[in-house]
Amino acid sequence: MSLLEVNNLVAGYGMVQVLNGISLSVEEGEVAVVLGANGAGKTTTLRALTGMIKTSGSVLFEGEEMVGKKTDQIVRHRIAHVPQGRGTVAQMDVDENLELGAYIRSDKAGIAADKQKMFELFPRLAERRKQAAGSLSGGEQQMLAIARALMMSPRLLLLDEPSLGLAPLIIRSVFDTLQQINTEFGTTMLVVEQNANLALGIAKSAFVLETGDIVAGGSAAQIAADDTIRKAYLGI
Amino acid sequence: MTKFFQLVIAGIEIGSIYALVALAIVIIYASTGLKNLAQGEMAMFSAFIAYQFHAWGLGIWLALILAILTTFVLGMGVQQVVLKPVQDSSLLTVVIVTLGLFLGLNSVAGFIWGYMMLAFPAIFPEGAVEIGSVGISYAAIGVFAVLLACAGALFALFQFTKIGLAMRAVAYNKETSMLVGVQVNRVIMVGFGLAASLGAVGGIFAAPKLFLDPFMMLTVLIYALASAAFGGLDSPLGAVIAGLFIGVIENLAGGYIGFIGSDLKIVVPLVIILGTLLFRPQGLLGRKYIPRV
Amino acid sequence: MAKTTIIRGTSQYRSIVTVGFALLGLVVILLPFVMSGFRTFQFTMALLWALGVLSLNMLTGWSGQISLGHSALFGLGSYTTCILVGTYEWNPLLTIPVAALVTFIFGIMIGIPALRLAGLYLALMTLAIGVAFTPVIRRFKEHTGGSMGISIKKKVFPEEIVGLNLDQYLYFLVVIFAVVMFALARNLLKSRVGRAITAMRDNEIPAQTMGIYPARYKTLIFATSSMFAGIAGALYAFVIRFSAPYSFTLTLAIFFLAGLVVGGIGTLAGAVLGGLFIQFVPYYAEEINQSLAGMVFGIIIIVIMVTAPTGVLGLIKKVRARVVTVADPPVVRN
Repeated sequence: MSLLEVNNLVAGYGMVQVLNGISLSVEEGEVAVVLGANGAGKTTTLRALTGMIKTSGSVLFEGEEMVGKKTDQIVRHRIAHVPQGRGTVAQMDVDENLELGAYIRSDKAGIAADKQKMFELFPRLAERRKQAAGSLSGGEQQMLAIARALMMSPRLLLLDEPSLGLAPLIIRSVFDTLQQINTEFGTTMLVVEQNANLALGIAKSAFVLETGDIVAGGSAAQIAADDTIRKAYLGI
Repeated sequence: MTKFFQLVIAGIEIGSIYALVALAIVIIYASTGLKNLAQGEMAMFSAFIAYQFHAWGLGIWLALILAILTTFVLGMGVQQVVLKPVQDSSLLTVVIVTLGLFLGLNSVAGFIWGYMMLAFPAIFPEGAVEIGSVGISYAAIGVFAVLLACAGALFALFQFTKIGLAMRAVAYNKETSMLVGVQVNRVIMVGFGLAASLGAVGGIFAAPKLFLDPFMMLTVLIYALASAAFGGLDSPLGAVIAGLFIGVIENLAGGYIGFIGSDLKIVVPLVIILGTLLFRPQGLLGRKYIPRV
Repeated sequence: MAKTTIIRGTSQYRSIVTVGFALLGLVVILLPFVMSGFRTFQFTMALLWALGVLSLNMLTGWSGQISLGHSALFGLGSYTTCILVGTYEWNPLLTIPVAALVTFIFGIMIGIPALRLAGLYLALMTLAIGVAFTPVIRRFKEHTGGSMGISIKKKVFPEEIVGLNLDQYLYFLVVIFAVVMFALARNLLKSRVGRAITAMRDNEIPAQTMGIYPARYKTLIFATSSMFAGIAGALYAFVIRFSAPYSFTLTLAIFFLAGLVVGGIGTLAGAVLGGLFIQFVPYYAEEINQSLAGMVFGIIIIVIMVTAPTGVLGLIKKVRARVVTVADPPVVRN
């Protein structure tokens, strides 16, 4: 059984349907990516998974149905979601953001240890512990958002366009870090991304989303090698 | 000079009440963007509840602690039933609904306890500490100490506890709060209970001085709103400083400017609101908000 | 039942509207001759409240601003008339323009600082004005009579000349003013200025980009709204012949707001419904208990805002829409 099994997921905003019944699955321990252009429904997919918008269909996480649950209940299954635009609390400092990330945990010693781990993983954050998140650079904010999500010690990490608005060099290092997290901690990830080359580089499996439908899926290597898909949907 | 100090002390005493109610307003505003115009009426209602407990034979301190706890629950109930449905509505809707609440609470208090002024028992012992020719009443010391204790407790709650962390997070960013597993609605509900309790403290400690009647908190509300605006609508520290400041200024103006006297003191908060919105709309310690299209 | 469709501007539509207004006019004219003096007085009062609600509606319904100071403006109008007629023995009708001017200027004075900011601060400031009105009136007791109030003792209206009793006379006087004021309000709303104001309410920043200066219009609408409240207050002084500080407390401002909410925010006819509501609900409720009116108002305000923000008029329209459809004429392209 896969860690996450999405079946015929339909979601949208108000009267507008964005996802027309998509299906995908993510295996324990792997990095999966959802690729697609602007407006394909990538963000909507993640928002539907964490119950932030009206959703129907089925989302099985560790065999349990998530559709119909509230966001905070879903999150308690240790699904971390780093939304677009970082998802940190700008007015709080780095320390507080990390504390907040561990909100659903109550093992004080574990939290402290994980916080230490985060500072090792992101030395820049250690230097800026008492700085407000909003005053950090874009790259640092993205690091903080990822660290914040990891503080939950997630079973599944959802990342919404981690490259958005960052300089190419920084994007590179964000993706390197993601790969490092996956190999070191074994964290399962579902990344939605426009930057197909980078995303495919760290992924094991990939899905291509086109105006609300999954039009292709398979191993990342397969997708990367398929010229028709690359030309038709990924523009590379 | 004696008169000056006496007026300042009286100002701090009443200013502490303004600060407590202003704190309540600020907490709710910061966490939900709601401005609760019924905050004063809720405080008035709590004072009546304390009065009732005392009338049933409980000691005054027990009565007021029970009243504050009752208010905590009532505050959460009011949020769930009345304010939650309009939480994301326009400002106009929210203001109108809180005014409906204002009128409703006022009338219910009148219905239960009548419109005659009732004497509220003294909470602190009579008498005063004499420093030179200036007398500082125990009541003034007591109320000020209560304010400091409440403000300190609030600070500790926000800075050092998990629920405090969650409350601040909700105030700043509801989406991120949700994504770390905070039950946003429950946190807002607790915030309302907390704010109502703070207001209750203000109402109860004001009661021995102002006497009890359904309209007792009306002017206090204006002063508290002025304090909240002056201090910065999202700044608890600002609310405390501004509350004390307005209490002192109001008393000095009433005491030294014959034209103002006791009737026109109410113009002081008006001028302060006006001055704030002309020169520093975000208030003394508030953050600036820039609207986006 | 088969649904009929009526097109605006057709002769059918016009005749329905004409007949409707004629019937309404007939009822309004006959009312004081059919009802007792006291009932007539009650309807006069309801109309006065309707004018108060109308004035608030011009501000809240059209421009989305909130005022809790309309009780004070209403009171200011009333005091102006009472002082001029009672103390200086003016002809009452001449005091109306004075009351209008005083409240207009006062409105500009409040409007200028308030327009710089979001509605929240206007609500705050007008709330303070609403609460401050009573103590300020008490403070200037040499003019206002302080807590005792000020009354017009002498008989001021020559009602016998037109063959009416006082209740009927006052009723018609208020009706005439009401018709004129409602017509003025309607024309103002339909004018360029009115359209600019509603555009601003819906979205201020885009309106700005179209060359509408919010500050100017906000002040103007606030001053006009204040003036309407002031005129309503002056008429109130004719009818009651007495002004006391406790008649114009914050409760009155909230009652205006309640009337507005009940009738339907932003609708002219809703103001009349609101006026009737303000007059008759407390009258019957207070027979049962003094506090009941406030409770009823409080609960109704909340329930309507939560469940039916368009008010009673909105509900009536919904019901009407089930029976007939009133449509705009189709656009003809050449």
